[in-house]
Amino acid sequence: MSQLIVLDFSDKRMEHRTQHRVLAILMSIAASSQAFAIEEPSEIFKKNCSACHQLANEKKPVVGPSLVEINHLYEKDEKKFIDWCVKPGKVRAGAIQMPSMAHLKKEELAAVHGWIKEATKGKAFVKEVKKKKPVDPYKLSEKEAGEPRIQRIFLPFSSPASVAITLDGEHSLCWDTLSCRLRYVWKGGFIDGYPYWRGNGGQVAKIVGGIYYQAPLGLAASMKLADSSAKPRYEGYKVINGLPEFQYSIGKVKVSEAISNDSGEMVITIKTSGVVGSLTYPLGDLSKCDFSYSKGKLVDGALVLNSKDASEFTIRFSAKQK
Amino acid sequence: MNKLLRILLGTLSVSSLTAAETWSDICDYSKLPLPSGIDPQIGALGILPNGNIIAAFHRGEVMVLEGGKWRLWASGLHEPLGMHVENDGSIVVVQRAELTKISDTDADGVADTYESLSSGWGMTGNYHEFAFGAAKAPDGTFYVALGTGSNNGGTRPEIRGEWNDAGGITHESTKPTWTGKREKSLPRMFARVPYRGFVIKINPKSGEITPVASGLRTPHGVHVNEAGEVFINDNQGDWLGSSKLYKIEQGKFYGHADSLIWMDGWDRGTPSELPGEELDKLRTKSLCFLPQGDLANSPTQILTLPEDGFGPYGGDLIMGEMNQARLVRFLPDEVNGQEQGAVMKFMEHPELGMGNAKLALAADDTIYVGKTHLSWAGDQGIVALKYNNAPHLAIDKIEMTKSGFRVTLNEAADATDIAVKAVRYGLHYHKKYGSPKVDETSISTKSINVDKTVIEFDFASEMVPNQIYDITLTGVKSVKFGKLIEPRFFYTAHEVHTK
Repeated sequence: MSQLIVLDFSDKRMEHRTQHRVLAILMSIAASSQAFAIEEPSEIFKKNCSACHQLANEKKPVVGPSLVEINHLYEKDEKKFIDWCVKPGKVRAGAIQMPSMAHLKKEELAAVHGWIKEATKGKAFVKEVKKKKPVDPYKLSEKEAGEPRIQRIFLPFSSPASVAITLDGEHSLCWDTLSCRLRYVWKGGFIDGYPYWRGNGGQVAKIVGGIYYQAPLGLAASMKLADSSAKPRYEGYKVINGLPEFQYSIGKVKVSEAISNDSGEMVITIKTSGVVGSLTYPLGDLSKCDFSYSKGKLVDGALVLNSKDASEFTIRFSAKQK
Repeated sequence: MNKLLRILLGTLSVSSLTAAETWSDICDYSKLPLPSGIDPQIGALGILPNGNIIAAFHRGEVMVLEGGKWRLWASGLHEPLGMHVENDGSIVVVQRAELTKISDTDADGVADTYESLSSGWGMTGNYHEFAFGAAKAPDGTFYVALGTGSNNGGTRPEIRGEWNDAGGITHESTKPTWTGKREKSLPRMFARVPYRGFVIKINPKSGEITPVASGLRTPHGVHVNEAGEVFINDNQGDWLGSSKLYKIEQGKFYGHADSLIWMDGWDRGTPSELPGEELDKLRTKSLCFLPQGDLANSPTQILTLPEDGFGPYGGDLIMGEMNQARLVRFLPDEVNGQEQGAVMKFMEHPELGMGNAKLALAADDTIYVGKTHLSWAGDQGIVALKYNNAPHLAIDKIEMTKSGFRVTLNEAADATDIAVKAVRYGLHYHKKYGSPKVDETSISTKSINVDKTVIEFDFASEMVPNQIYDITLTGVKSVKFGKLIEPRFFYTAHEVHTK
């Protein structure tokens, strides 16, 4: 019990309560051999809390509030501290939620409360002035950012299984591996993945630049085939000059879809085998695009090709000059 | 301990004065260099056929350590959390959305092909839906364990896989949000799209998925041994009073509630709303608990140590741990046909630190440890723990007897001064997070018998089932090796011997 007695409680109410508790524990020991001496509070803290809480958040990564701040919040209210430890909530946006310390006894948590007070003695809590925007410490260099790049990450306006691709750091697209198709194209940058990467995936990446083309919503696949209503099956991609050539199949039809860069213009080369009848490639709003295609006809907002033309065709996107 | 001393230890008769008695005496710690300019959180770690280390990082880069320098081999992956290295140098990586085989088909030293072996599991886009693996079984299939989503985050407007609205919780009613606002309607951890909370088996040739077992929460460690036995560990939380280690059997439910909604004919609403006793009847027991705080808070990758290495630990099942500066070792036992056993600290080197998420075994008895945190408790980078074979006194085997335990050491013990400190307690099985120790009781020892390498002790009271026995042996030493290196173990007694 010595660890409880040595605590220096300057708060008289606390002292009284602590003595009371010590007495109660000692009495229960006298009454029963089944009571337990608790560990040193510094050990309890080390085992259960130190993974996330530091004295003054002197070392990165910072997970939870510092002991100095915890002391500032709970110094005068042991019960509130224990209640929080047993049933923590979430009060800080962007911070992770503390797991419950329900496996610890109330006496152990009370001892930790006292120990925190001792450990932070003479350290005043100063509220940190928040920087306006967190800066990504691993941001790509200008040279790297200008290179073609493929990055899987959570992206907005698409399925959770999507890929961000940039031709040159300026002209970029989102490709969805669920429906196996181009979802949208943007100009003016690539992605800022830091909102996702700085945490555990609770945020989607930000699109840097302006989306100028978006494929129709709600499609099960990139193309409609006369002979098949099968869902697409994603098979992966090959990297050619830093850009992907996606492979997928829709029923018996095999498709490859290669992304390439022709002087800043985005070129998508689609090759198919096994198309019987026609292939319809639905298109979204083209009003902000300079869009062209190598084969087929535009019919009711879709590119329609016969099976021969469908074996290989290209579509090209660039943002309309303002 | 320096090399000269080790040589002396090997050739001269060893006295207890020079014996290894701490983990830093028997494993050598070193830190690997980090690549510059990239986030050094490690998601997956492996050893290539040529012995080089290959690591996948948090932002999806895959790099190879060659002659002390990192070289980019592949990139663009989405939260890789485990890899298997194939004999041809290609790797199979599990990322959030996919099991992917990455190969360098034109042999120019850089990967060029990212083949999707399977993308057939569901995703709501919730941050907590991690995919762990990829453990290759002797039959060539891959095991992947799929974490549940957390109602601390939202679901996405577009999801992959069919939403299961058991209990009347529709996808719409969860109000997809990224504000971090808690969605009260969802259970704390949810499995609303297929195979979340399951371990699945993937045929790499056909992409076919076989759901193997359910009832998992955040099953970080996925391991298949040479005999094809599947081991999984799961992290403390709702329905897990403490973290657990399972030996997985086909078709079984292991206790975390929400994945029950995928049982054929499930019509009982949201499982976590049912009384715990009802769910208790459905679940299969673990091999053991990993006591929270005392041993492990978030167990990670599991490995079997090679039979011919690691001294007395050869062939043992070990695992990493996120929040505490150690690895964990499992010692199996069987009582009344129930597989159970003990866990204890392993390689608790004072410099190891936290975040021990990924393990890779090198041929020279080195365990490489890849660290991550993902904004939780943890660390970053890679460290090496090389087992140096210094002779020391260790526990080989722990068996429960009718009235206590039989502990076998790797060397004869000195019979004097041995004492046993023992405590037992239960844990709740409930939807609340974690569990207090229930009815913690200290146990006195009636007798201690030492016969060479075997220490057998009987308790004064009867053995009680469904308890964790927290046992510390004190005063155990041998003339040859000195003090017992790790004297405390935690034995999960689902069963006790019937008289």
